[in-house]
Amino acid sequence: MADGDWRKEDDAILLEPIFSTGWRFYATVAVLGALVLWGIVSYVVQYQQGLGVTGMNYPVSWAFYIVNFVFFIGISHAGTLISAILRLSQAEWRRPITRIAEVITVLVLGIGGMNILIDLGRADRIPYLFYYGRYQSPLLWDATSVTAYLTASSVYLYVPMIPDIAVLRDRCTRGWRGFLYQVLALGWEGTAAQHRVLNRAVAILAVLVVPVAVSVHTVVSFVFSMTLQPMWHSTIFGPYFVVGAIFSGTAALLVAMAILRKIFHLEDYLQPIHFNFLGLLMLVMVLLWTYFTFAEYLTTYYGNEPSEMRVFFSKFTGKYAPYFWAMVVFNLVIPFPILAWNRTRTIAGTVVASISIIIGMWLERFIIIIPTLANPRLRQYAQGSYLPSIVEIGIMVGCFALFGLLYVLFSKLFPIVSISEVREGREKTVEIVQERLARYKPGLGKLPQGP
Amino acid sequence: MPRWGMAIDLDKCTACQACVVACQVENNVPFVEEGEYRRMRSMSWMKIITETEGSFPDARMRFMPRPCMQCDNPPCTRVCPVHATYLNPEGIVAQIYPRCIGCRFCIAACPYTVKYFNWYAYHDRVPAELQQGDNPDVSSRPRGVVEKCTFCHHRLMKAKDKAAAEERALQPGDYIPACVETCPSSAMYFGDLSDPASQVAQLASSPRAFRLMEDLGTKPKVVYLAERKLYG
Amino acid sequence: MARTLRLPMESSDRPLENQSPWVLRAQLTVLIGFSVFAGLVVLWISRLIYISWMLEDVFSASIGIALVAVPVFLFLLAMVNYVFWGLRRGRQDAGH
Repeated sequence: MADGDWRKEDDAILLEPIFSTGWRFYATVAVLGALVLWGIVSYVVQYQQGLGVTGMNYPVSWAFYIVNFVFFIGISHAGTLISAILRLSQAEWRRPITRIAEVITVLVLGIGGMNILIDLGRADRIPYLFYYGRYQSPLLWDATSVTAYLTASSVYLYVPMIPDIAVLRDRCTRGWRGFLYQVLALGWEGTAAQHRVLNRAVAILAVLVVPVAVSVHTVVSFVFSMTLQPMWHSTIFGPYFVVGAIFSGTAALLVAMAILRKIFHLEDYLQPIHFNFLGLLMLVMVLLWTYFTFAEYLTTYYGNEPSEMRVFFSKFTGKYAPYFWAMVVFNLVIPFPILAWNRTRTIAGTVVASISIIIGMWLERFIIIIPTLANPRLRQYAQGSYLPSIVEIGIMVGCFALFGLLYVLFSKLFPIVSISEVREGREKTVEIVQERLARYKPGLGKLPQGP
Repeated sequence: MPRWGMAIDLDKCTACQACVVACQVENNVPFVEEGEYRRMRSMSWMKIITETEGSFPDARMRFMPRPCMQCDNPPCTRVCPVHATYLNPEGIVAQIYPRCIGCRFCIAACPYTVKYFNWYAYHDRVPAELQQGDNPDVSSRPRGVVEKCTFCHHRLMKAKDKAAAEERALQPGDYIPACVETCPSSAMYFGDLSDPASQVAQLASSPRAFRLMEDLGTKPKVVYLAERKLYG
Repeated sequence: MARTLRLPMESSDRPLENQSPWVLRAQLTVLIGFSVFAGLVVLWISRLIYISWMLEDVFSASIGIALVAVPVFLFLLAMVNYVFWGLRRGRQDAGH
């Protein structure tokens, strides 16, 4: 088949974003590009003048950038959960979703790591992390595990994509794109031997990626829990952050799915059942997150230790109460009924719940970091306070826009739904599930004979 | 190896803040403009912490000077990613300004909040006439690095050099930080905690002696002598 | 009346000998680049171990982290190589 024949493909709609570009693409890129530019300009201002252009002060010396760092790294668990765990548990409904999730992971990891670098007072000394690093510091654990996860998830994104790139290679042979696809397709022909290699690689990577991902958000939590500060020095932080990450990652994935479904007309591939299943997963995470939060705060309250109680009341009834209770509303009160009740666990319902959760989880990061810093043990600062400046807001907006921009560019170059996995599903799912049913109980898998 | 420590007699302290000023002058600690002050970014390595007990007419002000505690088990050095803050062999928690990358982890980790950050290049913003009064023995910090009280470590280096030049050992009294030297009521004592004969070591074992937040296990080397009124 | 799914990649009407030699060169460049990256990471971690030993500063933490991190990177390097060479070997016109 020649170039331009992509419309004769069975899954032509998945290739449409790659081969046809409309005005909407350029408009989106222009808008996102402008926002990214705002972020870059803000950073240049900050680099030239110093971190004083932010709202940080004493004692709140860590603020928006660290909140965003934790938030973005948290969302990176989207890819791992869906892609790796669902692949390992052989859930057939994961097929159209895996690529969407994996791209989210790779992009937010990069952006999260970037936020930490933005937060440095002397960004020109970043190489010192490599020349003079100390592995006793949780920041170095962060650097190592984020690098490991970024590498692992990039490989894990690329390897299953090879058959899809081969499809593109066969459709598009001209120009730099043709060359790119030829290079990246690694000579894929779909022979049995090649399938074996690929399946084995993907299976092993799926197993590797899970502990790396868990370690990433655990060491991010260790940045806080390894200090002696009230309501930071808590053993629950490791699991709490991982649960929160899976929680916010799933929500982000759901929103991404809904948006992509709309703009790329993927209604055939992303059906209400996918949103339903992910919604159920999110329901479990709502409850799990609530449980962890409850355990954390009840323990603090019961212990009644003075410096911790100052932080506690600052969150419950004090200066940060609006944010704390907003977090509870966004993370529990809104999503729980929507996700618990079948009738509301529709696409629209789960998207509403997901947006609420994303906002709530951002607030959760804020609530963990700022009140503890604002209420130091030594009460010389009475009560610290913090308000973000325009620079911080600009950089935050720039980060979100950069994520969107890179995502759009990715979907322009590569299929955002995994074509080969969907096709494999179409061919083999019935067979796979039948065989599985037969193993549950003999006789279960047999289809009824004739009319 | 001496282990330098400080004892502060809260009975004698009048909260005159001469120590604060002396520290600022000695160590080129920049003062910040009013806008920055209102944004809570002023820096004072030595600070008087105040606490009001009771209410008028029975109000009582209590205050304690708070330099860096120079902990023997510092929570701040543990978390520095680039070895820019470290515990040196003589017990002083030192800062390496050219190495600091400004991540502010040590600020977040210090339970005493004694560390300060140069949000802007504050030193360069001090009027030129005042910069002329800078202490040439102390490097001024650029923007984006963390600084804190170092027990006037530069004075220790000078005292050692002087003693070596005069071919004698370092005597107690050769090395004394600016705050201790300035205190008008002689409320502060400084010396080698590991020398049992030194005044500081003897005060540190006095029944009035206490350390701030000792239960955290930081092993601070600044010892406070409680006001005698507590003892009736 | 099932539709036959003619997956183009399973047909052998697209010989890969037509590809320009630059394709292979680019692929090898990327592979070497990845190896260099993994090598640099291992070098970095080794340097941190060395520094912590020289400065007598928590050598055990460096060794501990290295024992976990370095195998991950080496494993990923091995995986990338496995996929690259495995796919080359598994081609229909294998023998290259």
